[in-house]
Amino acid sequence: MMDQLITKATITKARAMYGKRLKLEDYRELMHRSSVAEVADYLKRNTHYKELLSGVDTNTIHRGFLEDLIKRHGMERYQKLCNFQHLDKIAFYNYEIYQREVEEIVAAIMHLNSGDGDNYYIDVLPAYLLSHASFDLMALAKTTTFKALLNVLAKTPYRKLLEHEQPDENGKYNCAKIEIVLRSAYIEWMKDAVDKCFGKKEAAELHVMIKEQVDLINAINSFRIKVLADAGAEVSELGTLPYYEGKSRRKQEYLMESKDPSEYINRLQHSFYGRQMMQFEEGLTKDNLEHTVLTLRFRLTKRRFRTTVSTAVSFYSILYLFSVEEQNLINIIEGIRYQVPISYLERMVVL
Amino acid sequence: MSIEKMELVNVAGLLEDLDQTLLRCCDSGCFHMESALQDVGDGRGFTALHEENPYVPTLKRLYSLAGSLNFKLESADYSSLKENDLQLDEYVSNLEGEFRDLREKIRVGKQEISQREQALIQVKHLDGLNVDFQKIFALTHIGVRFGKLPADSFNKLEYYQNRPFVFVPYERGKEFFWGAYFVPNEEKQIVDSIFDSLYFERVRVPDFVRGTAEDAVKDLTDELAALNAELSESTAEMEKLLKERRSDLNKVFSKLKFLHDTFELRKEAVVMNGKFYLVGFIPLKSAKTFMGLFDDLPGVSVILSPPELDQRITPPTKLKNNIFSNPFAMFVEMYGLPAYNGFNPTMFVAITYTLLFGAMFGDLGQGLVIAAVGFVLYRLKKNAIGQIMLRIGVSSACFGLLYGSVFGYEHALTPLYQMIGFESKPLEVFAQTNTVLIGAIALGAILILISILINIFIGFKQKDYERAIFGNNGIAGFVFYLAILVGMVCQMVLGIPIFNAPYILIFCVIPALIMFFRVPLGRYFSNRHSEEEHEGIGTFIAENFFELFEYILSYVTNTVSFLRVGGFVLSHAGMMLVVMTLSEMVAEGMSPVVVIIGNIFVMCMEGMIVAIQSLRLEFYELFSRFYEGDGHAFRPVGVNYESDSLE
Repeated sequence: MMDQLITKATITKARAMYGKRLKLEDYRELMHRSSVAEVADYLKRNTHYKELLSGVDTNTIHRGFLEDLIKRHGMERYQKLCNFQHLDKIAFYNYEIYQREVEEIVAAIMHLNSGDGDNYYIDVLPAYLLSHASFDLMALAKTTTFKALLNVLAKTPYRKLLEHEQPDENGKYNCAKIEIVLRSAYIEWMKDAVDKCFGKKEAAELHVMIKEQVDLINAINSFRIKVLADAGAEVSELGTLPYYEGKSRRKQEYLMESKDPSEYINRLQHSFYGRQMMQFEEGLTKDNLEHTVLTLRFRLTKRRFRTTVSTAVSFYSILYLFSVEEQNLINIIEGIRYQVPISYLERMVVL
Repeated sequence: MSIEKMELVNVAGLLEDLDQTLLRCCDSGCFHMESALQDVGDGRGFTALHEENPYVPTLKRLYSLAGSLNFKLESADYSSLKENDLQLDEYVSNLEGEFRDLREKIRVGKQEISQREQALIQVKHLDGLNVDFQKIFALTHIGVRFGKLPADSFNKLEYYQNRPFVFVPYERGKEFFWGAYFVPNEEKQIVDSIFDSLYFERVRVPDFVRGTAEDAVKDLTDELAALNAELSESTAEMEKLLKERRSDLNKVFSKLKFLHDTFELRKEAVVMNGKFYLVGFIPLKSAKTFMGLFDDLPGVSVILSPPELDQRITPPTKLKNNIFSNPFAMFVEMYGLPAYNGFNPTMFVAITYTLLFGAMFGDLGQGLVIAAVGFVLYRLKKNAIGQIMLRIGVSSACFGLLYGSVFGYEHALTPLYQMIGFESKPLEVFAQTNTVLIGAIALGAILILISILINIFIGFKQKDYERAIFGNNGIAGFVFYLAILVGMVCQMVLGIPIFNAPYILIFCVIPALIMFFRVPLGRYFSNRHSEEEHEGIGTFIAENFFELFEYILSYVTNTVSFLRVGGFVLSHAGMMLVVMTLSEMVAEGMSPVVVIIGNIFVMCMEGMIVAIQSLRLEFYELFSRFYEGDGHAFRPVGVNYESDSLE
């Protein structure tokens, strides 16, 4: 109890950080820039990325490097918040590292599947994670076989999760399935950590947030499977994260039993989340489902962040909100680099 | 203390006389121009003039020249300039030519300096590399790339340890490692692509760099010194030339700006059949002088008429104030100028603001200091704030005499009072708290009543009987409010049970009913018939019931709002008490310091707060009763030398 009271200053710090977030006007300004250099210049002059870009010549910055810097900034923000009141000593707060490790393992397996010896994975490996990961990322980048990969993960819980995976007839591993396995384990670990680290009230609030996250990710995944593979409920279930509660399972099954994507949308519109999404200006349609679901999650998180008195919820929320900001920026940067129309970029920004 | 009387001016003449007419209008300094198209309307054969201003290109070039020389163009007397438009353009071209060579020399010099400085930065980073650059550039089998590698990417180099290159870092920056990689020529392409993927930024060392890094630094430093000396010479030459040409530049600028701005006014005229037509306003007192300006233009006729003659154009407002109230016009303009036929509230603001500020900030010493600061500010900057401070400072000093306070010393004036026959000061703030608060309310009530009387006066002046008689700020409202006040004073203070049935009926109920039916009553007495749809009785009752409720509530809230005056009297005294207490707590030598600092702090902080609160009371409690700032300012046409905006 005392520990929880002591960590309340983190809520204030998180709210101070939130005050510096990018606003709609910033996104509009960025979208109207005509080059990556101009985007970098705007970020350097007018936003909280000033310090990040202070040592960088924005006239010559590479798109990929800028994106890397933005992602690294996210990691630094996480570190800063953890170190502020030594939250990293509480197991739950290490979820961010866990999540990123899962992403890197999946990326490494995709690299193995590509099999032609290019350096794709080392190019995208986030160097800032090297010192934080629980296994040797450089060794992971050098692996050329699945067995070697498992050896790198020998002293981690990931090994046990992956050791029974088998390649298909082409020697490729099912990355989608592996991702679901790893993420499911991550979700289970999170649930467990929440129950062990926090009191009843705070844990309940966190569980609600995680449940929302799982439900909405499942809604997107099932829809993708429905649209791409026109798959039935059994197949769709393979692409879902573990349900939080029986009610979630039944509702998701109801969605997955839809005959086609249109019916899926119709059923989703009448669900708890769907009714909220229908209040958005653009409503909920087949074409905007993913963006709308992400927007819903963003707004639910924002609302929770503003009203919560729980350190963990505040921490979890602020990092998610900024991860959305980072993704918005990356979308804009890539859009400008590849000269995507502004109207398209506007539809991609989650706010 | 009123609004300047205006005359509507119609000017018509031959088109060839338009420029001369506009020149004289500008020169007069008293002609407020309106759009003639607004007056004559469209579609009657009149057309507006849409011409390109011929002075824009020359003026732009002049602004550009001045900008490049960091020279601020100012207005000057150009009467000695005899050049015509073409000659002015030639003159500007000659000026540009004179400065062009020097500017080019300076530009090239700056560029060379910049190049050398950049090279110096790069070479300084290579300081650890004790090799002759020329030898490195001469290598035939090994390629070298100098540059910087992001720190994150440096950590990834381990992945490529089996590749044929060597990266040698020699300096670490915040985000980057400065270094060089060496690669066999045949592997250059692959290794270059690896470093590209690691975001390596290549730095090209200029070929004029010779020797080792240390030698190169020395050579570059010497070259930079020489170039900087040359640049200083050129800059001094430029400044000398500018000094010689300054006066001419300003004269040419002034004439061009005058011609430009005057030409812009042509857009306000309309033309038909080779004749132009202008309309505007001038102050009545300037009419004769203005007419005289056109005596030598037989083709131009000027007709003066009463300002209300043309309903399509609203006369502008120019406030006429006396010496005391003139600075307070700033507050009135902040709220909004009165309409031409409206009421000039500046004197009212001057008196009430001075009174309210003085009451809330009563201290003889502090008041005199504020007055002194205001006086100095006025002398230095010639602005209204200084003048206002002078007046409110004196008012504070007067109230300070009443409260007996001098820089927080509450008993410093006791001998003075005793000399004039008082035992002690007239008002002991903390001992007579109720008096202070009740006094504040009484002051507020009086000011509100005065505001209502002003509204009644304006209403009768404008023949708006609904406003003057039946409204909540008319006679009905006045009677109602006064009756409540008198009743409360009699009942609670004097013990006279005045609130009996006849009193309530005559002075409260009847005025309330009049306010309730103000709209139909107003229409009846002014013989106006509304073109609006007649609303139903239910709607009428509901609307007016709530409006009446709002009026009564506003009487209460506006009156109680003046409690803040008493509140600030007490808070001011309280703050000075704190200062005095603190001064007694410190060592004796420090006590005057604490008193001085405390007084400065209170004067600044409390002074600002009281100033804002007084303004708030003016605008919200008083102006809302009678004032509508819906006029527009009188702006005589002329040349704006400060603005560099060109059409």
